Amino acid sequence: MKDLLPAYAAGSLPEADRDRVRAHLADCTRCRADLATWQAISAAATPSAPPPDPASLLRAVMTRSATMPSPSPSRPLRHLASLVLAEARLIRPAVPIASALVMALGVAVVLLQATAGGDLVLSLIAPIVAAAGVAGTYRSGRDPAAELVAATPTSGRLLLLVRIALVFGYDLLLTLAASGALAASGAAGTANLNALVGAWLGPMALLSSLSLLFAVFFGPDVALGAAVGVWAVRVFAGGVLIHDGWPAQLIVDSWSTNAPVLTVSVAIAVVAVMIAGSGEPRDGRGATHRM
Amino acid sequence: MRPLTLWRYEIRRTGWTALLGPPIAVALGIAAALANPQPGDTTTARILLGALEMAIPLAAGVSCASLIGRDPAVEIQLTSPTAYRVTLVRRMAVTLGWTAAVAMLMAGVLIVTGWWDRWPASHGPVAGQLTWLAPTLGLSGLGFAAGAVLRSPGGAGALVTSVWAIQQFFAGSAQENLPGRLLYLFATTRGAVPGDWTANRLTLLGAAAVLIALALVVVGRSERLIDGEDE
Repeated sequence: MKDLLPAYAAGSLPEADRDRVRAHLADCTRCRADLATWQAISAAATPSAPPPDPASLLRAVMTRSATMPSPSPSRPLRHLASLVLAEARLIRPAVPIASALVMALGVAVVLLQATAGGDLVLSLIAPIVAAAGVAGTYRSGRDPAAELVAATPTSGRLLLLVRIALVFGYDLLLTLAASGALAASGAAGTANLNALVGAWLGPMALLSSLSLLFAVFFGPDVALGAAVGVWAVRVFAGGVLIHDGWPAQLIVDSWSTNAPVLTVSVAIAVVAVMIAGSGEPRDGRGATHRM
Repeated sequence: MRPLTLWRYEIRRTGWTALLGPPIAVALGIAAALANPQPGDTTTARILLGALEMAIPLAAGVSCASLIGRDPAVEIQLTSPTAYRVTLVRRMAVTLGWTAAVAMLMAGVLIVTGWWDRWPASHGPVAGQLTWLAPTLGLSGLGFAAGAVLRSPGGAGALVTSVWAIQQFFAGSAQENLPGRLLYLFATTRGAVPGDWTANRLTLLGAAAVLIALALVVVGRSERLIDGEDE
């Protein structure tokens, strides 16, 4: 009789067995106690309400997350500092080391070669070093944490800006240090510090912003290739193969340090950041569900 | 996997940058030659040979600098029976093979149309192929080795471009001493000490072999590749 009690508690016994168990329970206190236990287990296992529809649940969660305002950090500067620290940890040491090595190569060329001008060497090296670094800042779907980044309240644009500030800022400081060292050394053909900075600042800003724009649209490989290609045209126009004529002069003038060049550089960078932060990562794969 | 399927996969993986680089370099050279404001066939021929000796090697060098550090499946590659260095050599062969095909096509057109001989410092149709082959392998070896050591395509590409640009502007300084002359990339179109051209080309080929061998030794330490640049 005891074997029939679980099925009786679950209500799955045939009619004849149910009557037989009911008659037995009337006389047996021990089986009544066992039945109470089985009924408690059966009640616990029975769902109290039907499960929600998965599609409705997803829609409700997405709607709530889209309409609820993001909590703003109570200490903005501390929040920004923690973002900078977190992004700095993501930059592999090889990247800044490579930039420093290339810059050291340029300084060595100026110091060892009596005819090499420091302004020319830095204007050749600094832009491509910065542009190559910036090309790797926008990782889109290749970022191993792309899904996490897409799901965090922190804007993707802000993360990209922090990353650019770290990479470009490092290269800027590196080239400033190289300029200072060359100006202080008084190497042959080296101008004063202002002239040295003027030789590379505009080209560095313009090539880096173009590299960022290419990286946002086509990824880091194409961005690096495009930056090298654009810079090669500038080098060719600077006196190697096409040193005469207005096209060469126009190219050289476009890669100088002045207000229009810096303004265009900032404008291109702003457009790239705006595009980078609009919606899903631009590689065709969505990081989140579409509503 | 059949060999043909494997090579087709490697060609697809090479990417548009490596495939479009050499043709764009040739197109830029031809555009520069068409826009050449200086009179005379000699300067035009120099620009056309310059595209072979300067632009194509740069495209190949930057492509080879990007071979290491951006493989999204490097962990899987390292666990497969085929050594990763074999895979890298195969990818380098695809990049350099395509570059060589484009360069030989352009060289053939220049030889047939007579532009090849209009530059006085050019060499014969056969030995003259070292005009593009030596600097292409030299810069590619430098890019591959830099990529293996730095594991940063951006850093390696910047190094290749910087060396290329410095040699462009400081041809005189580079040729003041023997090592500089032997390692100068543009001896055909930017001038070389008489008698040095063949030695220069062979030295560049030897340097390329040494750099590629060094890179393959470095790549053999697979633990260095695990934390490669992931962008």
